[in-house]
Amino acid sequence: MEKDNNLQEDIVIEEDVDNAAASIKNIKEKLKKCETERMEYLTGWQLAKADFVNARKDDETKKTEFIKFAEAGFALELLELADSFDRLFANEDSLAKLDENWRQGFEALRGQLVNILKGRGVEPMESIGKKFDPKDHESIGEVDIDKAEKDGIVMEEMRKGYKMREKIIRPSLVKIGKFKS
Amino acid sequence: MSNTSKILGIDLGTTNSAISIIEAGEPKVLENDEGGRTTPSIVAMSKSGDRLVGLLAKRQAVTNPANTVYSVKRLIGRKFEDEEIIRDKELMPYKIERSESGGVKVVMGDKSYSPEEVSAMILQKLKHDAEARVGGKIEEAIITVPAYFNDAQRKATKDAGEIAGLKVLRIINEPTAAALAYGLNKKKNEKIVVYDLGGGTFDVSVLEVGDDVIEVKSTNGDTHLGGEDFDNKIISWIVAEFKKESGIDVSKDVLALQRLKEAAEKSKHELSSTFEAEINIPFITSDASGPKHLQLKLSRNKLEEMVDEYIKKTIEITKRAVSESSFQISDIDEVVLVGGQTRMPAIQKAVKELFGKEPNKSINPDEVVAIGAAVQGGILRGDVKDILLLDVTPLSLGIETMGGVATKIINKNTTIPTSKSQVFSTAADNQPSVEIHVIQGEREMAADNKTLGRFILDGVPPSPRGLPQIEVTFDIDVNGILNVKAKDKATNKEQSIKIEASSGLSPEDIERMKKDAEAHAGEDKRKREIAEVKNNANSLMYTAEKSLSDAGDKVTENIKNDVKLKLEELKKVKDGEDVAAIKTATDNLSKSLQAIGEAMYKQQDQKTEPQTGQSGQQAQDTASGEARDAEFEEKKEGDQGK
Repeated sequence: MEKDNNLQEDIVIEEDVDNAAASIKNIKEKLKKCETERMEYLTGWQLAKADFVNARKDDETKKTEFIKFAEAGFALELLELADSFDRLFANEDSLAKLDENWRQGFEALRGQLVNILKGRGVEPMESIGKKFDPKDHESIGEVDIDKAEKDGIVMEEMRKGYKMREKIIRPSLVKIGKFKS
Repeated sequence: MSNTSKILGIDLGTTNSAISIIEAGEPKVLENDEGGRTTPSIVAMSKSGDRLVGLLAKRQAVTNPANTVYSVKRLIGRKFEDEEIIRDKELMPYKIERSESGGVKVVMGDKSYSPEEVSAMILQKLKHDAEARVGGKIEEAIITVPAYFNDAQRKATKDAGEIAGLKVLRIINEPTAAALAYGLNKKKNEKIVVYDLGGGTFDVSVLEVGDDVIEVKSTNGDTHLGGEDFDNKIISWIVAEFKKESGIDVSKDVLALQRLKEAAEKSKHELSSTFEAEINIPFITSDASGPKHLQLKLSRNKLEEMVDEYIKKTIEITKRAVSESSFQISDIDEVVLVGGQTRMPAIQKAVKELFGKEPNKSINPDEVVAIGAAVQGGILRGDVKDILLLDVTPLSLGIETMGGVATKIINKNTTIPTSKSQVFSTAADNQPSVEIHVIQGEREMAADNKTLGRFILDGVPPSPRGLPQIEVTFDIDVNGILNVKAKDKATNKEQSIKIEASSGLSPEDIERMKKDAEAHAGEDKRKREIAEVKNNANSLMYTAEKSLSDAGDKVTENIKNDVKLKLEELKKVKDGEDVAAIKTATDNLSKSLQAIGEAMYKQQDQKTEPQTGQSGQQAQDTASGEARDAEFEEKKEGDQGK
């Protein structure tokens, strides 16, 4: 309504030709301004709409990813427990002193945990003997070696790395061979 | 600008970097390829000659220190003779050389690179990862730098962007970006302090918002103080405690130290929301007597005591920055917290005590600078124009329903323009009109909220309670003007009211109303519960009375007397405040009503031709708790975002 009024204000019949020309010029300028504004709004609107559609698609993907991520987060916390079991079993001398039944009990506990993780697609990765790769490994030290071909090879695994459905959720903590010529 | 590609906001940090874009008018932080929201600002040349950036570079840093460049931001745009370079040269494990022009070069592999080139490698990865997330090319960027960066450092950062294939539209100050993220640029003549405690550096800046620009009035800081120092304090404490207990020094054991570091970080994070954290590392080490376990409790008080010197230091630096700006502490209007370490409650408290006001901390402090950079990009491209700035409703809007309950139709923080509707019904038989009481606020009971308006929709045709369908529509336009309409779906008769924007509520009023709602949450919930229990009782009484009259002689007197007795019992307690008594009496009546239903069904089964069994059905519905009448009973929900 407001726009119509504006237009009507502009369309005044003037006897003076000069005034009429000025008036047309005025209207043309207004029209030009309107067209520019219209384009600006349309572009903005289209962008916003596209963004919205994209955001919705993104949201769907995010939801699926989030479920996986939430699972990975929980698995990572459980891995701390798996690490503690690994440390327990690495202590062979102390373990040998334990009563056989207790030792078996600990092994069964570890087995239970491993199965729970496996059920969720979480499995340990092999690292010893492989070439160091920061995608799979994180280095925390070096081991002096006397064979040149072992240089840059994972010699010790300090903490196991894990994959969850082919995606690495935690790299193995390793020591790498260093050849001293 | 007609270019529709996104402008990337980049926080190129000393330790970590973050990226953000504007999407649908709102800033959004983008994850990198590894799924992280921040990327380590580290570049390395592996022994096999591969260039590694970010997390992968970090994972091999320990065994490849000479070819792993970190903190390159400390070197960019500096001269080889600069004091900082002379000092950093001693600290960095990689080689720093003098360039031909008197600048700095770092060595990776068998080549040397300028800091611009190394920064460009980080920027290139950020650009690549952002493109993967957005699904399109990104060619333009806004990069942030510390406020104290001189022209040479700014120019070098810009060059790094260009080397990475980005057109750098602006280099903006990190504190300015943080202020932009909070929208503080709109508050004319405000004086802002940005307190930024990151992983390895502390910066404080005093800003003033002018007509078009945010001006940096002063800066101060400590280039070697950050969250890592806090972590180290915890690690040292754990090592000392463990030594006291077991006599074993675990600080030389790399694996134990790694586990300690992770445990220290975890406990620090936990202590931001709890008062005590348990540090539990079984089998941390072993000696001749067998395995040793670490089990310690760290209280928030103890942590605060340990790092007190650092917090005091940052406060002293902040005071200096304010005095250098020629303002007084009392002149400061807003305080913004940046950097992960500012999540620590003791830091928030110290800053609040210094300025006597609550700091801005609602945006993730690790991401606020990148978000601000994206906002700047949005302003440049026109995404963030006032005309397209969509507002939100600060408080919930709704109507009063049976029992004085506040039923929300539009929840607070809903982006406007929007339109939502719900269908309600009548509370009494043959009710000729309904009153729509429009309210605003978060409280559970209508009386505790603000009344925006009232109107009456009359001409509702005589019908049993619960049958008419009155559709109530709340419509807020882009200017915040609220239109409430009630329509009887049977007659299409409607009535509406127009309420002007926010009805003169000041930001303080809004804040007070939100606080009130929080403070009274428990008490309000009880009130609402009482109202709902009473509503249920009333509606069951109505059904019972109707069933009794419908049943006539089809049901034995025994059953009818039992219902009447239970009905009387409920009538006695229903207006009291004893929720349990009302609930029990309602349950009893409901059980006894089932007998009417059963009796009528039995009678029906005995007949050869089945009857409609209307009233029996109704009684059953009621017994199962499905029929719920209210003065404006909610029947179904319609939702049409505009």
